[in-house]
Amino acid sequence: MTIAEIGKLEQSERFRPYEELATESSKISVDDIAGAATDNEKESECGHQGVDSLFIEFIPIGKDKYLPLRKPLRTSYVDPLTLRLEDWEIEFKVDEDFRQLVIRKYLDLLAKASNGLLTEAEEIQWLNIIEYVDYKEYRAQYEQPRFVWAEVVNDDLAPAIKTFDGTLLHLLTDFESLGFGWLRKGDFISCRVIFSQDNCIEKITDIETLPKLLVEVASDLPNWLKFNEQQESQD
Amino acid sequence: MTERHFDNPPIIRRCYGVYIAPNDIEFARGIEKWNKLAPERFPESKQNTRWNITFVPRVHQNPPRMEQVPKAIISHDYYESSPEDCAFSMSVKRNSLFFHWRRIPGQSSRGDFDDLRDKIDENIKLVAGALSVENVLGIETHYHNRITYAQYPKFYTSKKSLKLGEIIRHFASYNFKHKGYGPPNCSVQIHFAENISGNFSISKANIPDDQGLGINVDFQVQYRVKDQCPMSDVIAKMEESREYIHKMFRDMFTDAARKSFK
Repeated sequence: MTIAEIGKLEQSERFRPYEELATESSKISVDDIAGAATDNEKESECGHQGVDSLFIEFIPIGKDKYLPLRKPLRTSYVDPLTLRLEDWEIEFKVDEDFRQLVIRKYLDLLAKASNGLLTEAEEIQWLNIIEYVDYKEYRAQYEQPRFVWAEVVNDDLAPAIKTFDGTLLHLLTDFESLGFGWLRKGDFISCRVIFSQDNCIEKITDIETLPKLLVEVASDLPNWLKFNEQQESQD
Repeated sequence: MTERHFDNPPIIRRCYGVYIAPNDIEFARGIEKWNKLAPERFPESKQNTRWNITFVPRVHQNPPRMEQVPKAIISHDYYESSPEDCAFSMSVKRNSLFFHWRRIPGQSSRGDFDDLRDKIDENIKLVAGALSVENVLGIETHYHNRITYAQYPKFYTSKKSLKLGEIIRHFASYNFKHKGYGPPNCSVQIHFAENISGNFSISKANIPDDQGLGINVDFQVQYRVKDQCPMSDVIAKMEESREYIHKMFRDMFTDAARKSFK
């Protein structure tokens, strides 16, 4: 969700009727987040039709780490002050921030699953839970970036870079959306990359273009050293 | 007085509500108590969850993301008949109690406060009693109107071209001829008196494309109680709020529009 989109949501907030306006104007209902703030949704709010599912993109774990979600969380009613998170088997008080409970449950089950310690009941729960989390994105946060020199190439499938040993690495997104729209085919770059499990680039940072001379030298280093020695001896 | 009785009114929804502050235990016990009494008046009921999300910037991340902090709100909703075709319903939340009337096509009920007063008064006292609430913190009234081509074709040059200047007085004072209305939304906050504020807003109605362009014209009055207001005064305050809405209605809609509502 872009800042511009969020700006729109805030604008739509002003037209939301009564009840929430009287509480905190900075709050935005999930109806609005669904992107529409349409009148049908406003009406349904008027008509107090609820949404029992919540879509948030990620839950912060701490520092820069987060749990990326790819499916709406669904709740069911337990009692006037308690809700239950379906599939996660978490009950929480309405006033409570349930996100930490989600994190705890996920990390606990992930650790058990990695070590083959899941009980039968936990295994069923784990199979439900993994549907909610984008594991690739989650895992990529813990991968160490690797420094590479590469040439920008574009094949039919997607933007890609070709490393000096000839490996072709596809990007999961294009350069423009990363803010590197000025990169052209044939440019040489240095960058840090995190690979996904299927050898795509999960994350690419610190992109810098390399001067052609430097690339030529690097790709033919023995001859260049020889040439330099000759020059020095002539001097 | 006569102004209130239109044969072709634009109203599609009216809401009357109060803000309350029971403690958690009182609320939990009270709602269970009310659930036992409610079926007599509201045969259908269900609990809905809504989410408020506050956006918080996270500056440490690369790229920066907006953190979404969710907060759940449970709404206990009670209907006089099935939720789909029910005109009068009630919604109880942790901090509020609202009555909703909506226009159902084919039903003659106007949903005017005069018709609903007794129902609201009776139910508000019962719920407040169940929740052990004696005072309210605020009172709110909301009227939701809609102008559509199907209902008011004379204000349209075509299905998608509305002559807004002929409906809303404040758009009528331009020296130029209106050609149509685009969908920019606008909202005006109004100060009526100390503790009484209002809100007037226009927004594009989300109706199917083949029905053309429709607009919502909403009026809202909030009565903030300085100290605390006893339940027995609520109906009088709601009537007062309703008067302000009628004033806004008369002020915002042009004479021609009000004539076409008759």
